[in-house]
Amino acid sequence: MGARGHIDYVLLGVVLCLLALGAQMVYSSSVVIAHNEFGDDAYFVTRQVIWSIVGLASLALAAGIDYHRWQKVSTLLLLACVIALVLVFVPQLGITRYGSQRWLQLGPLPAVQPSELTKLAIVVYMADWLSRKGSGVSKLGTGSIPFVLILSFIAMLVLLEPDLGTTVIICAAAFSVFFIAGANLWHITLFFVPAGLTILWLAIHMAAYRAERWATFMDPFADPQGTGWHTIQTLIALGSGGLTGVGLGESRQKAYALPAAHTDSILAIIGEELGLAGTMAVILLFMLVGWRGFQIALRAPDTLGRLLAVGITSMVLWQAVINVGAVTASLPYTGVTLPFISFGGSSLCISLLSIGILLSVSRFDHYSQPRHRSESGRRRAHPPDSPQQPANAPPGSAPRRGPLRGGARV
Amino acid sequence: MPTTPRGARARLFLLGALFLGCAFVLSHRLFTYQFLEHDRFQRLASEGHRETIRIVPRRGALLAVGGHPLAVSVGMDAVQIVGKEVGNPQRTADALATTLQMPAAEILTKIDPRSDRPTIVKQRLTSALADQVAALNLRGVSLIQLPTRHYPEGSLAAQVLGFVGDEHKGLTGLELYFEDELAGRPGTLDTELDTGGQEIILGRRVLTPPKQGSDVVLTLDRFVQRTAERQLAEAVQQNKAIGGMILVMEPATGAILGMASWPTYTLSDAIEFVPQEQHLYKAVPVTNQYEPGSVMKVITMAAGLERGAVSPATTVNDRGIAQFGPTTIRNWDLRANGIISMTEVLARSSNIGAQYVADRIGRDEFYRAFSAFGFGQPTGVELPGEVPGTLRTPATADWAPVDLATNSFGQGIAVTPLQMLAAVAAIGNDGLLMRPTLVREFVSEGRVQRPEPHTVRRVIAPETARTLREMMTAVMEQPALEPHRIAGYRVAGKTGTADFPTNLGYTSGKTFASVTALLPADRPRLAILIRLDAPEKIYGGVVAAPILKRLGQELLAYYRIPPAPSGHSDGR
Repeated sequence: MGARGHIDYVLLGVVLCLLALGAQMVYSSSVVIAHNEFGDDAYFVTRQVIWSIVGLASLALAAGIDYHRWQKVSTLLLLACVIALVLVFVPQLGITRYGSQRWLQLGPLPAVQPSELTKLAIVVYMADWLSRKGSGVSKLGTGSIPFVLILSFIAMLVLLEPDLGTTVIICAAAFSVFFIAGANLWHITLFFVPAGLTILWLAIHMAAYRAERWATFMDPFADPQGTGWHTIQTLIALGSGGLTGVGLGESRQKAYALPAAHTDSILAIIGEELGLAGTMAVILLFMLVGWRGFQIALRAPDTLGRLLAVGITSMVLWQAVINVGAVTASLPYTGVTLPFISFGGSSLCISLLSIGILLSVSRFDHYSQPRHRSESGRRRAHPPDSPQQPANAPPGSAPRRGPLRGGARV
Repeated sequence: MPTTPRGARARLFLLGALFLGCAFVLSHRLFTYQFLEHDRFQRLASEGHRETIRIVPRRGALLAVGGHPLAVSVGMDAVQIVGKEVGNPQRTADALATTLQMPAAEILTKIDPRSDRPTIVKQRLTSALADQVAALNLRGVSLIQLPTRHYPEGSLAAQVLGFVGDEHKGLTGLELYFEDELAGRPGTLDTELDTGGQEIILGRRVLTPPKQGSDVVLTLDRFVQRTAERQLAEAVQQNKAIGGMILVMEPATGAILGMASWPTYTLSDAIEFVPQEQHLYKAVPVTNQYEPGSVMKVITMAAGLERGAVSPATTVNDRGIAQFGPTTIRNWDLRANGIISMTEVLARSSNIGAQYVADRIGRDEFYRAFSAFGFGQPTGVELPGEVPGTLRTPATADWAPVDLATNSFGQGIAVTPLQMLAAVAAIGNDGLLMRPTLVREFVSEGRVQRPEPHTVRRVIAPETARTLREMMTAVMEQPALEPHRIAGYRVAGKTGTADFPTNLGYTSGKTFASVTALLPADRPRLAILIRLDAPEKIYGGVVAAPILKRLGQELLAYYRIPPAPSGHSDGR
């Protein structure tokens, strides 16, 4: 089936900016460790660039195919993820790194993190499943209870990796989709919020290291040489950067003082080397991602498109919020990467693939595609939602329409 | 209606607002840390990152003539323990004790479980032993290369060389005297360290290179030193002496070719400072002063000849006894020699004759001459602890008129053996007093610095020196010393017997038996002083002259000094 519109070039441009900044900062923050541990200054950045190319290829592929096709594979995809998440615990296949069994090694393929793919799979599955529910979403028996059963099953598997950060992202993205799909607000306030808080409290207190991280979050300076070390070094990196930073490549904290400088804490190095200007640029770029993502959701021709757009956008944004929150000691540290910027193959590929799906939705903008599609009976039951241009701009976006609309066709 | 598009749009706005709120909160956090609290974090960041690493320079070597090493620094493995890292101190000590063959209790005292600083357990490991320690693979135990002083010639010239102690610093001898030159100057590497204490690769670093220690090439000759030490050891044993010394010097330059003394200490790589042996570590030829006795008569004669007070043919009526106020002076053999020439005064070692010369010179000129020969002042040789000797003059409060007489034959005056030799060597150097030296050259980072021989002053005219050498040759060629002559060579010299001071005064009957010589007499290449302390036979002529013969023969052959062709001619 042919799409008539064009992909959202603003979104693509913003993502490319993030990728470029990421590659530069991965090099800058990893050069010392790369030199010492691998004898190659560009060890990490080379891999980051290769993964970016792989990721951009999958982005182009996903942008080119009709997003409705994901409906056919959404259940399969989630099942595959469940199997992969279980396989991680098979000793011959799972790889333990940094104390977590998050990696899966299958034959000659590079080690992958199934939990990364699970983020996307749950968003696609929820978008597909909830878009087919119609008004049943708001009902307890057909909406809230099945939703919470599916989600908690998946979340439990990811939590067992253990990967609390990804679990939180999965839950947050799924809830965002559920919320937009029309979740019953009473159910949310009376049931989900208390239950979620309880589970979070249990998660924190059932693992010693999480309780430690929580205590550190509350007061990092209580044990500056021990548990508070990472947080304090992160803040020192950020704070010593000032307005304009100490200069690209000049970070002092990246050399072993700051663990995971090129992965989870990369924003701290950006803050140190490029200053407040650099960190605000990152925030701004993610705000632009949000603006474009919600625009695409608003203009999506159908519920599936809207839910996919919301799910993917919030998946990326929640991950960014949790990462920046941890780096600024606003949230406890959970070991989540900064999308598009942090080093990490699985995360980068999945993020770019997700953006590809988002771009695919953007091609079906209902302003340029006002006509009904004929091939999908299900969709005919739920015609495009919002025939008028929005009266006021959605939060987090500029009031105008995308300036690059009307460019080359995909 | 939640499922209506309108409801969905409202919820989209709500979710968007939530993200916008997050963005606002996080931006505010960043602004706080990066702008408002920037100064505080900058201070935290600059703390404890920079560190100055000391770069230890290589300690210079002490080399003999020809570049033969006498003391060199080499890196050797040492075992060190970081107490904090040791899991089980007792087991670690036991394991090390077996390998290192040391008492476990001693090792245990070096393990402080609270200390994170390394403590050296044992130094100078052989590579095989180091491998064994490494194979033990004990936690907290590691090997480190430490500079170790190696003395390839063992105890050769031990008192001259000295040795190093902890921290590779010189404690005695040349090692102490040339500490600054040998040690060099440490360099620094001002660098940045990561939290593990490792240097940051690509960090900002400022290198101040160390100045490597200079090698010091000595004037000591291994053959001369070894021969002198051997001859001395034999002589001490044969004469049942309690000690002695042999000094060999080059008259033209003041270069000390050999400096042997007994008793000495055993110099080995493993030497450690023992307070009870401290007296043995001193370079006795410069730290010890003694009454030189009759050897001093050549200096008295030099002063007399130079000032025209006497000539070789001048005669004196030696009655064997002279009265100086309350003090009576006598010849050593208590005999009167009758009317004798100045040459005979030296040959028979007449105290009365020497006193006559001093009297002819006059007291002011006499002491001027003695000061000019360097008595009463340190020579300035490169050894620690040199003493100036004791020369009382009319200008000093404790001088008495009798001192003029006794000083003339080497009593009532204290000199160091090196002072005595340097003064005699000046006669061999045609009247130029040279400063004794042990240094031929300094080699610092490839550059060679060779100090010029230092002429202290002219003490007598060349003719006077030649005349005096003839007189000294007559001394050595007198019939009494006939058996100790070196065949084919003319030797200028003077024996001496001085009283050995004890707590009871000069009553012990013990002596310093000595001989000083210039050889060959015509163009002296070597100046030699031999002294035996408290030998069984007390007289210098009997005790020291035979040593001179044996030593002289070996050295003349070693330096290939040709014999005098005939009679009294000039040697070449």
